[in-house]
Amino acid sequence: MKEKIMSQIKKKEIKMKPKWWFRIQKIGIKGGWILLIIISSVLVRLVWYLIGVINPKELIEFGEIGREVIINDFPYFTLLITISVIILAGFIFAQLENNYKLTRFRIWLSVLFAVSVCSLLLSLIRSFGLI
Amino acid sequence: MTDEELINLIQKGKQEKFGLVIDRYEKKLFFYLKNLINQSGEDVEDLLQEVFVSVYVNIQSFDTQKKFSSWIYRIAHNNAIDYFKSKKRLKSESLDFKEDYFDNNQKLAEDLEIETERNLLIKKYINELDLKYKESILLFYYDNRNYEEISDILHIPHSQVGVLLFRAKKLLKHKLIKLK
Repeated sequence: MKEKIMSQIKKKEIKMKPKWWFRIQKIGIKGGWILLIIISSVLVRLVWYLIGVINPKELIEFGEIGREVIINDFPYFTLLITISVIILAGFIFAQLENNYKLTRFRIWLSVLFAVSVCSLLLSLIRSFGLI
Repeated sequence: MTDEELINLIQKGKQEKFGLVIDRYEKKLFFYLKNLINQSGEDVEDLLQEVFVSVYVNIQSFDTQKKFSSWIYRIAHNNAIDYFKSKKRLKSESLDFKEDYFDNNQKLAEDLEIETERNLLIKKYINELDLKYKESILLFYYDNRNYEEISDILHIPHSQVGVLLFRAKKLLKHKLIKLK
């Protein structure tokens, strides 16, 4: 078997993938994860904004009618998309480098922390009028 | 020369050194895969060849600051999983355990609180375990890997290694008690 493999290597029938290929993969995955965190943060802020627009605190005071309005106008779809993006971010985070060593709890805690921090940064940037 | 130094040379272009990697790991990986997939020598050799080809093709992805043995076993593990997926209901062939590389594992016998002479029986039951339990037992007791290395090979948290081993031993003990 050794001779067969070494012969294939000499004849270049099997070739090493270049280092840059793996570097690009790593950067791509890390970049993808960061992008997902940013998107999650934007979506979290959007859900928060849409809930704010409904103003459930005031509507509750209207009793049954108010509750119906909340149920009808609640941003379910946006919330679903947000949760899906956060879950995707979690899965990708688990694939990064040595993150397989982390327990599931720590992975999700890290992702939620990253989303929270990013959301906070976005709101700070917005409050400074930069976006 | 350590494995990592050897791989560093191969990464820098000394491809002829790859033969040394095969020499160092051929036997170990052969018996690891043989016990894992539970098939004849020919199937194991084909799989082993695929493993070494994968190692060579992906060798630039290996970080020489880490342990090479864990990395190569990880590749062997991945190839074994692919093998299982492609041949889902392959019948397990009965293996001649006397020819097994890993002989009379006293440590496992002690942990299971049985006589060492019953080791051949243990191996029969190990083959009947689910893959995740089987792998953890093979790596810990027969390949003498520590928790850190098993975590790197199976890509699971350190704590889960202990849980898998505990459950695997519990299952084995249960089978042995039933036999009595």
